[in-house]
Order: sequence, then structure tokens, then C-alpha cells
Amino acid sequence: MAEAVSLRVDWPRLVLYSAMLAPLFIILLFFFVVPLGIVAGNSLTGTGVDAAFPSVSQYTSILTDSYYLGILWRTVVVGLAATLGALVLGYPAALVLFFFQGRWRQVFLFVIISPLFISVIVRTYGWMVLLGPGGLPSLLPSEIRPRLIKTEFAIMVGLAHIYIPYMVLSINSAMSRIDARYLRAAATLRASNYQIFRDIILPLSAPGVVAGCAIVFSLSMTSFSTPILLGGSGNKTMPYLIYQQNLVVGDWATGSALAIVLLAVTMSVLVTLTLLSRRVMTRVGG
Amino acid sequence: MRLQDITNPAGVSLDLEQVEVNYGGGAVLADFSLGIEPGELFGLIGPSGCGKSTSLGVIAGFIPIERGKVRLGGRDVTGLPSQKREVGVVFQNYALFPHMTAAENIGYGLRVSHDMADYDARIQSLLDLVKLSAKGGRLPRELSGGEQQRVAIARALAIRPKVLLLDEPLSNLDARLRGEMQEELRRIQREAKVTTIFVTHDQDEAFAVCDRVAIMNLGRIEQLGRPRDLYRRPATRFVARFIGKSSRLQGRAAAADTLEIADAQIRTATPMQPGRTYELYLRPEDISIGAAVHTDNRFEGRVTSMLEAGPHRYYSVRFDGGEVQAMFSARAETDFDLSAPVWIGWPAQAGALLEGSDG
Repeated sequence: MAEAVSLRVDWPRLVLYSAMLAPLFIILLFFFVVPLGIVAGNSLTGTGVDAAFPSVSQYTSILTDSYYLGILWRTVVVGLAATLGALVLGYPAALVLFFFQGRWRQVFLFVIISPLFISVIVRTYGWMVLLGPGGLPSLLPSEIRPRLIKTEFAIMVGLAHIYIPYMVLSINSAMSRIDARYLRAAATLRASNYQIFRDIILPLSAPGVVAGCAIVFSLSMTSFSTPILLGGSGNKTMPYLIYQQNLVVGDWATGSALAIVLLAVTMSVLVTLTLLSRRVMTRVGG
Repeated sequence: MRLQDITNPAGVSLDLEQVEVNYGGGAVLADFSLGIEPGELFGLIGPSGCGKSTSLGVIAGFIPIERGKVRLGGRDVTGLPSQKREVGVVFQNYALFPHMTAAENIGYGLRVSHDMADYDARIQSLLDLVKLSAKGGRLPRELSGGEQQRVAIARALAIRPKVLLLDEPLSNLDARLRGEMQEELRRIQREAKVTTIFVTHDQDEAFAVCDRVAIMNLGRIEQLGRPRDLYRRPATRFVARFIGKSSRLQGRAAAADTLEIADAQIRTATPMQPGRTYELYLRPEDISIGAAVHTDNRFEGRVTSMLEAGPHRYYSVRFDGGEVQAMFSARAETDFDLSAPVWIGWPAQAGALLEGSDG
């Protein structure tokens, strides 16, 4: 039996919804879509005095320049490593949170998100001190004392630490939708605690893992201050390079093209992540 | 494949002995004992908070107990985790794993214990048992409520449980489907021959499905017996009020066979202690109503209200001893006008006579 579909337009409702969406839409249009369009336009400007438009010469020079490619590669590697670090450290924390009850869950959740109340710069300075010559390395004998600050490793540690709360919150929100009765049902079906984790909790928390990884990876790829402060000028990442090209060198065409490349690479990694997780995601309805 | 091969061939007995459960201070179950026969379909009913779901949790191993013993087939399982109890549970919301198909849900218990002999054939027999032969590949969200419920039963039966526990399994279904599923449950339970405990707040459901029923209140069993005995011979005032419709008349025993209520003298067959307070609970079908009635107790009264209920009509009649509700077949042509005088009556042995009153 087919439902009768009303084709009549509900004007008052349409006007109300439009009015509610309009402010955000206008802000996004003028402060995101239009600027992004300008950046994309800039990136298509050719080099030289009588620069042709449109031209892909900026892109060809970036993608054939080992200096740029090296920085892009470092950005991706550091972003993936930070994401992996946040996942490896954040998942067990989310799991503990899942098993906490009532008031303690609130307290623990607050502890996990409390770093977000402190400025990123302050937290990064903390790592500068910890990883600096007078910090953790000074505990080791001087012959085997490693250099930690101004390395890619320092950037990974800093980014993972700063973005862990997002990972935990994201996984926690997926886990909090897991009905405790699934776990009891699995237990009566003779599943061991490990099997319950592997077969029930892990797949049902997968949407949170995917979302958390997407958030942490995007934030890490575009992080500006932490890589500069912990990596130094020898370990530049894309955001700093873009800043440098645009505002220090004043080469808006190259800077814009670099920004578009960063966006494209970030998006491709996220799309790959989504495709890889699609099988489990369709099952869990994520 | 025969059903005996996929389920437990013979049910086992289940005993709770002097179980005590405490949640944050108060005792939820205190000195709670219950014995269930092998292969029996046993109902636990009572108002919410009476401890019926808690007792299921105790049997399944979800809820730790302070004192007492849980025995399955004579074996003490008190200290064992749920994994080692061989108890199948059907939850109120079914708790089907949402990311597994019906067949995967049913087979989960076999897969985790690497019990893979004839795996496919056994899953198919279970799907057949619950009449979902062609729907094994569906995810739970692609199944109707009744189908999900049957998957949950098949999943619980797949591990050949010694005892099957059903926690309000029909409460999420609409009325028509609930009736069908009651019959289905009976059939499946009889075919699988598994000792089953059915927890519900719905007495009609428990009476329709169960061999024996225990009525719980405040963590204790008020009465245990066959549905018809509970209905005809309630042992406590709580049971008399909880089960079915009845009219309550309160009075004092004037003699061993006479209950005095206001100006009315009521003859009773059960002997009473003169001077004590009693309550007489009369079922609507105990009471005759008409222009003339011939029975031990007859009173003239007036109709105060009428309730039409399909096959029956219920008349409330006020008389000197109080107000009673009488049932009348809807087939009868006779009708009684509101506030018209009528005669009501019942035999001395009718109803349940229970000592005490709460005023």
C-alpha cells in the first residue's frame, strides 16, 4: 500500500527552517566557501610577469620539487603517527571509561577532557621542557642521551598528546551506545571476556574509532604551532610552509597551491580510511 | 537433523536455596528459595520491583549473591560466572548483536566455544524451529519485533542450555503478535524440552503459557502453584488482589460460618474464628445477578455502573455489605438499568476468605 505523498509546499515551515539555517549558511559562504575559492583561484595563477590563467604550473613545480614533497611526506607521516598514537593510548582509556559507572564515569571523563581547557601553546611548552636537554633525556647517562626536541618524534608525541581527548570522546560516544545487555548475552553464550571484547565491543565501537582517527588526523595535518615549537625549522610541516610562502615570501600562488595540495592529501587519506572501514561500518550501521 | 540433537534432550531441575541479594543497603531478595522441575515452564510474576528480574539475574550469574545457593540439575553453580552456567537468556529488548545476521547471532555461542560440528545444519534446524528458515541472512534491524524475538530464543537454545530464562520477552510486541508468540513459546519449549523460567508482569500471559507460576512481592514468593489454583484459591490478600478481578468485602466473623458486614450477614463455607476480621474476595463469575437468585447468600442491591467487555458485561452492584462486580454473558438479552433494583447472590463456598484487613 503506497503512502500518499503530499506535494503541497509547507511555506511557513520552509521559511522557518530557512531562517534557522541562514546565519550559519551565510557565515560559511562568505568566510569559508568564498575564501577557499579565492585560494583555489590564486593557486591557478602561472609564474612570471605575464602569468597565464588558469595554469597548473604551480602544481607541477610543487609535485616535482623534492623539497616540497619531503615536507608533504613528513606532514603525512607525522599526522598518521600522531593518529596511531592517540588511538593506541586513547582506546584503552575509552574502554575503562565504558566500564566505569555513574559518578566515576563523569569524573574520569572530566579528567580526560580537562587538557582542552589549557592553551595548546602552554601544553606544547610543557613538552618542550620535558623533551628538552634538561628534561627526560637528562635522566640518562650523557653517552646515550638522545636528542628529542626538534625532531619529528617530538612533533608526533606533542600532537598525539594534544589530540587524545578528541579520540577518547569520539570512541566513548560510540561505546556508550553499546547496550550492556549485549555483553551479558555474550557471556551467557559462553564468550570469554576477550571474545566479548573482540566480537562485540570492538566492532560496535568501530564508528567511534574511524571518527576519532579522522578528527585527530585532520587536526594533526593542519596543526601549526605544535610542529614549529617541537620540530623546529629543520622539521617543517605543510601549515608552516604555507604560512611562509604566503606571508614571508609573499608568493601567494605557490602558497595557495600548497594549501590546496594539503587539503587534497588530507581528504584522500580520510576517503581511504572511510573506504577501508566500510565493510564493518555498514554492519554496525555507522 | 532432529531437534533432540540441537537442544538438550532432557531438562534439568533448578533450585534456588535461601538466596539473599542486596543492592546498596536494602535486601532485594531475602531467604529466597525456589524449586523448579525438569522440563517445566515456570512463570515468575509480580509488580515491578518485586525481585523477579533480580532472581533471573541470580540464576544467569549477572548478580552476585550474599548468601544461599543456586543449583542446576543438582550441581552447585553459585560461584560460577555466566559463561560456565549453561543458561540461555532472552532479554526484554532481545539484545541481538546488531552487527551480526540472524544466523550469526544464533551461531555465536557455538562459534566462541569452537563447537563447529554440523554447524550449518544446526543453525538451519534452529532457524526452522523458530520459523525463520529463509531469514538467516538478515540483520536484526531488518527483522520485525516478533522475528527478532524468535532469533533471540534460537540463539539462547543453540548452546543447549540447561535452563532457558525469558525476561519479559513479549512486552515489546503488539497485542495480536503477543498472543501468537505465547503459543509459539509453548510449542518451542515443549519441543525443546528445556526447563524454562518466564518472567513477566502480565498475569494473563503467565497463566496462558506456564505450567506453574510463582507470584512475587517485595522479594518473597507470595504463592506458588498451577495458574487455576492461584486464581481459585489465592492464599494471601496480596495474591487475591493481584490476580484477576475480584470484589473485596471486609467484615467481622459473627460465627464460624457467618461474616458480618455492616447490616449484611454473609454465609461462608470456610470456618472462621468468631470475633476476628476477614476479607472475602469474590470473582465476578461467582456472583449471580438477576430479578431473582436462589443461593446461600442473596441480597437486593442497585446497579451503579456497567462495563461492556466483549463476551461479558460487568455490573457493579451496591448492597448493604458493600459493592461487588458481577459478570453477565453478553449473549443474554436481559439488561439492568442503572440504579434499578436487582438481586445478587453467591454460594457459601464461593470466593476466597482471608483473615486480616488493612482497614
